[in-house]
Amino acid sequence: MARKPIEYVEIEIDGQAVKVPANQVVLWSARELGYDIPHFCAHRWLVPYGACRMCLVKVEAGGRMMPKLQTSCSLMPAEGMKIWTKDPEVIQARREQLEFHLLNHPLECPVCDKGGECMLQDQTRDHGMGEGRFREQKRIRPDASMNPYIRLNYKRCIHCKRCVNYASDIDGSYFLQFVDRGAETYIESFDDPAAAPRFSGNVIDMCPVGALTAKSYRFTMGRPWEQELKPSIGALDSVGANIWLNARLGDVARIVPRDNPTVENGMLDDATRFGWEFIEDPRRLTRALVRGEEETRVSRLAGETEAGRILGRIVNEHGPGSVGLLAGAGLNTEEYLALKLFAGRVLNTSYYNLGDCMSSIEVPDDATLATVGSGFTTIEGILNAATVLTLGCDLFEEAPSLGLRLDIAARRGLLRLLNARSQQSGIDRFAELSLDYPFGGLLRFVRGLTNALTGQGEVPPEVTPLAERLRQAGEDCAIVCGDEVWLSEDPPTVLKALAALREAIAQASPDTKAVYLNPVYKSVNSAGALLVNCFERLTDGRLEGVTAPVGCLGKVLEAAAAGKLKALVIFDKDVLVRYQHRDVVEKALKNVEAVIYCGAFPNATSERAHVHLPLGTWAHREGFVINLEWRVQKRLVASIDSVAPSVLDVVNGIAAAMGQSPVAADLPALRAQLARVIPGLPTNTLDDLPDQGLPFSPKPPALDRLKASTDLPAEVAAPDGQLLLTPKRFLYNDREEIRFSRVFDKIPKPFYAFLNPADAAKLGVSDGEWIGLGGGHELELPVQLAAWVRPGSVVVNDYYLAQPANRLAGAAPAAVAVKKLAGVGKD
Amino acid sequence: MSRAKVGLFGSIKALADGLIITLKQFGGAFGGRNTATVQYPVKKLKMQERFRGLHRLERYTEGPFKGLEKCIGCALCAAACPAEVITVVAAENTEENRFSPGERYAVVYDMDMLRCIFCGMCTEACPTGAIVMKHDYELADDRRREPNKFMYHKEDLLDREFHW
Amino acid sequence: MADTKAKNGFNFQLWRYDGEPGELIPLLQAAQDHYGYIPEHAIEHISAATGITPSKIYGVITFYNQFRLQPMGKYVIRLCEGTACHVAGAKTLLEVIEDEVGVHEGETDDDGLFTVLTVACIGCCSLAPVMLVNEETYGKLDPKKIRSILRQIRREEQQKSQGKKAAQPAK
Repeated sequence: MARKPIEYVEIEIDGQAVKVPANQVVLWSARELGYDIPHFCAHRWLVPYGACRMCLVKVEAGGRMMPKLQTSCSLMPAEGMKIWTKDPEVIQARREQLEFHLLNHPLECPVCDKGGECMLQDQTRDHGMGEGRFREQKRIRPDASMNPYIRLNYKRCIHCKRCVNYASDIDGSYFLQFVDRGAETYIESFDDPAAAPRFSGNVIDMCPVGALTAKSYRFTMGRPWEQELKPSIGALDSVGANIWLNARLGDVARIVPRDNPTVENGMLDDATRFGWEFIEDPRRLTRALVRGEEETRVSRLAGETEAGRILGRIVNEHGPGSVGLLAGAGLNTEEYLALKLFAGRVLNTSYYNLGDCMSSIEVPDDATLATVGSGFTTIEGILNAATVLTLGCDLFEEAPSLGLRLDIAARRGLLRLLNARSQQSGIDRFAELSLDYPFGGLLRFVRGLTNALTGQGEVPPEVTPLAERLRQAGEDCAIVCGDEVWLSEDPPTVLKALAALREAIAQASPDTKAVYLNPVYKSVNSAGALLVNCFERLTDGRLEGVTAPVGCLGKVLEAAAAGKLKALVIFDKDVLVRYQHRDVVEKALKNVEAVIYCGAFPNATSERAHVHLPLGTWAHREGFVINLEWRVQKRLVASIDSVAPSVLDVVNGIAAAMGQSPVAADLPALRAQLARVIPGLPTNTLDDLPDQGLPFSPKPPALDRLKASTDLPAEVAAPDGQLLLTPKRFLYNDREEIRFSRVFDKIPKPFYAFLNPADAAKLGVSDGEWIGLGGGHELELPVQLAAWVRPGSVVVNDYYLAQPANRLAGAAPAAVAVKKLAGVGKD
Repeated sequence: MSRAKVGLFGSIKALADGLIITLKQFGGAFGGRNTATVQYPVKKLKMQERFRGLHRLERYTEGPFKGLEKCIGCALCAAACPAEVITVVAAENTEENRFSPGERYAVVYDMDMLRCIFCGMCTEACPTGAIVMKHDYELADDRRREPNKFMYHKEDLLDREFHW
Repeated sequence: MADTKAKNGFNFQLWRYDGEPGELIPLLQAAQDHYGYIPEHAIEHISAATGITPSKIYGVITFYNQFRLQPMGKYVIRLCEGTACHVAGAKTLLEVIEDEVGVHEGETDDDGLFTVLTVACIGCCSLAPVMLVNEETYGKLDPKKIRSILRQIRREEQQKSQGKKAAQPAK
C-alpha cells in the first residue's frame, strides 16, 4: 500500500505516559485511550475546525506551559508533550463553554427526536452547570424543510458547523451554508429541487443536536432507546453498506449506519438510508396469487401446491431439462444453494441461472471468476492505491458510498483518479483525467489502452493521454469497472481484456508493484450468486444430483423461447424489464406452459406468471451476503411482526407438493453445506460471523486458459440524424425498495431522456418537452438537458417500468431515431 | 394482679369492662368516634395526599393552553417504568388538529395495569406533569382476556373520573 | 475578460482571479459598485466565473455588512445614533425621518428615493445631532430642519423628472 507506516510519539495524559500516533490529533488519540474529552465540531470525517471550544485541554509542550488552554481537536502531539484533561481550569472552561452553547438552545428534549442520542444532552449531563442562568428571550426561527428527507430546526442549532463542513468537504454540493453573522447566524439549505439528494442523510448522524432530523422518523417512530437493532446489509448496491435496522413495536422505524470503517465508513446514500418503508408496504404480497380463468388469492400453501402440481406434471411429462429456473442477485448466498439443489434434485434441470449475469453465452462465470478472483483487492485497498482507474462505471450511481470515499480521497490528493466511461459522471470533478467514448465502446477502449501500453497493435488516439498517466501509476493501481461490463453482450471477454490491461499496466509502469481489478456488481449479492452458480468450476466439490448450469440468463431464456422449456420458475427477478432483449423474454414467457414467479412485490414479469408466490423482503430473511470486495457479511431478520417466507420455505413447499423430499432441513443446514462445497468460506454459521463480516478469498480457476485478444473492435457510432441509446443505471429507479417506499414519492427521479444541449438544439427540443425514441416511438420520455451527456447519445434510465429501455436496446449499442413529440405534458 | 385476690366482684367488673368496650365499638359502627374499621364498600376511606393509586392523564385547566392535554408524547414515562407498563406512540400536532401545546402529542398511550407496581416513577419522569397518580384503588375485574379491562388506553386515562 | 465586462456590465478590473478564495470579496464589491446592490444574476455570474457555488457566495454576502441584496434608494439617509447624537435626541429625529419618508429604519421607500439607516457615529459629534444624506453632512438638526431638507430633495427630484418629461416632446 502507498501509505507510510504510522509513527508513534510518547506523550503524557493526566500524568500517565502513553504512546499515540504522530499523525493524529490529540483528541482522537485520547478518546481511543478512554479519556473523556467532550467535543461537538470535531468529526472523524472532517478536517479540524475548532469552532465549539469544548475539547480544550491544558498543554505543556517543550517544557513550557502553553499560556492558554488548547483545542485538542487541532493539536498534533509532539514528543514529551504533557496534557491535562481533568484540570480544574479545563473543567471550568468546559462548563462555561457549554453554558454558551445552551444560551439559545431550547429546552425541548422531551419533544426532540434526537433526545437520547444527543451529544449536547450527554455532555450537558456530564460537564454542564446543572442549571441555566440565561433568563432572556432565546433566538427564535421557525422550522423549515431542508429537503424531502430532512427537517431543519433552526432553534436547536449550536453552530458547530459540522453539517456545513460536510456539505462542502465531503458531499461537495454545498447544500448547507451559514448565513449572516455572529449571534444572528443560521444555517440555510440550498436544496436544488430538480436534483435528487444523494448523500444528504449523513448530516442527521453528524448533527450533535436535533437541528437536522429525518422526516420519516419524526415523532411516530419512537425514541432511540426503544429501538431494537438488528445488523443488516443495505440492499441497493454491491458495496453492502453495514446498517442497523431499527424496529419498534414490531415495525421498522429507521435505518442507521453500522459504521464499518472497512466497508462504507458510515457514509450511507439516501436511497439506502431512507428506503425501508417498502418492507411493510400493504402492496407486498402476503398470500399467493393464482391466475387461471381469473385471478384468485389463495394461501401460500395452496399456491405452493398449485405450483408443485404444475411443475410435477411438466417434469413427469417432459422429463429432465424441461423447466428453467432464474433468480435475481438480491437473495442470500445460502438461498442460492437451496435454489441450485431445487433445480438439480427436484426439477431435474441444468437450465438455471443464479445472479445477474445478463449475457446470452455459455457458462461465462468461470472466466468472470478467474479474471476477478486473481486480482481483486479490498475497498480499503482501492482507497489506499496510488492510482485508481474507473472504467465503464458511474460510481455515484452504482456504488454511492465507494464513489463518495474515492471522491474524498481524490479531493484530498491521497490518490490519482482517472476515469473513462460512456458519459461524464459526478466523480469526474476531482479526477486528474476523464475520458468518454461512445456507449458500447468499452471493449474497444480497453484493448486500445492495452495496445498503447504494450506498444503492440492499433492504438486509437483518444487513449494516449490516459496511457501516459498509467505509465506513472505509482506504487499500486486499482481498476474499478462497473455497469458497462455487465451491459455488454459478452462480459467475460471484457473482463479478460481488463485482465490483459492489468498486466499491461504492471509491465508499462516500472514502479508499480500491484495492479488490482475490482468490478462493481449490479446487485447486493452478485458475488454470492456467482460463487454458488458455478462452484463446480472452483472446486472439485460436487453436489449429488446437481449439474453445472447450462449457461447464462440468455441461454435459459432462448431455450424457453425456442419451446425447449415447458415452464419457467423465476425468483425475484424482473427479467421482462431488466434483460436487454425484450423480444426474447416476451417469446419465452409466451412459449412456456407455465410461469411460476416468487417475489415480494408485483412487477412486469410477475404479471405474466400463472402462480405468484410470496417471498420476504431482505429484512425478513437472514443469511450471508457477499459484497464487491468478497467480504462475507451477515444479515439478520428485523424484529418486526410481519413474517414472510424465505426462499428455502418456498422451495421446500413446492418440493413437498411434488412429492419430493425437502432440499434442506433448515437454513443452518444449508450454511453447513455451503461451507462444505465452497472451501475457504470463513464461517458456516451466522453466530460465528462477526458484525463486521469476514474477508473471503475465492480460489479462482487458472488464468492461463484465458487468452485476451489484442484486436480492436469496430468503432461504435450512430448514423446522422440518430442518437446512440445509452441505458444507464441510476441510484433512483423503479426498484422495489424505491418504488414502494412513500418517502421517495417526492424525490425527482431521473426518468428522462437526457440529451446534450447541442443535440437538443439540433432537434429543437428544450427541458420538459417530450421526445419519441425509435422508429415507432417505442419510448416516449420528457427531455432533460445535461452537459454530462456525450454529444450524439441519449441517456435513459435502464429501470423504468413505464418506459422500459429494453423496448429499444436490443443488442447494445443501438442507434435510435429521435423525434420531438407535439403533445407536451402527456403521461 | 393475682387470681386469688380478684374475688367475685372483681370478676364481674372485669366482665363489665370488656362488655363496655364491645358496646362502645358496636356503637361506633353507627357513627361513633373511635372507629377502627369502615363499612367498605358502603363507606370508603379518604386516602393520604401522597397515595399512589390509578393513573390519570391531565389537561391544562387554566392559562393559554386551557383544555389541551399536558402529555407531549415524549415517552419518558415509558423509559422510566421498571415494569414496562407504558407504551407511547407520538404524532405531530397540526393547526387543525391540536391536542397539546407544541409540536408533539401522544396518539397512543396504553398502560397495562396488570404489570403496574404503582411505584410512581412515571409521574416523576414526566416533564409536564401530565401523568399523575390519583387515589383510585379499585382495579379488580374478572376479565383477563380481550377486551382486557386491565389495558387502559389513552381515552380511559384522560379525563377519567375518579370516585373519591 | 473584455467580453465578460461588456456582456455583464459590471467592472471586473478588481478581479485577478487566480483560484484564491479571497478574490471573491473584490468581485462582490465590483458588482455592488455597479448595481448599487448585488442582484441574483450577478451571484450566478460570479459563481459561473469562479466555480464557487452560489450558496457559498450568499453566505459571504450575508456575513459582511457592506453587501446588500436589496437595491438602495437614490438618497441614503444615515442618521447618527452615537452617544452625543443620542443625548441630543436622535431617537426623536429618527421618528421624524420615518414619518417624513414613510418607511421604517433599514427600508427603502416605494419611489426608490430614500433609504433610512442608522449608524453608530460619523465622527462629528460637535454638530450633534447629525445625519448624512449620501455624502452630504447636515448638523445641529431639529425636526423642522430635517423636514425642510428632505422636502427640498424631493422637490428637486420632482423638478428633474418633470424637466425630463417636458424635454421629451421636444426631442
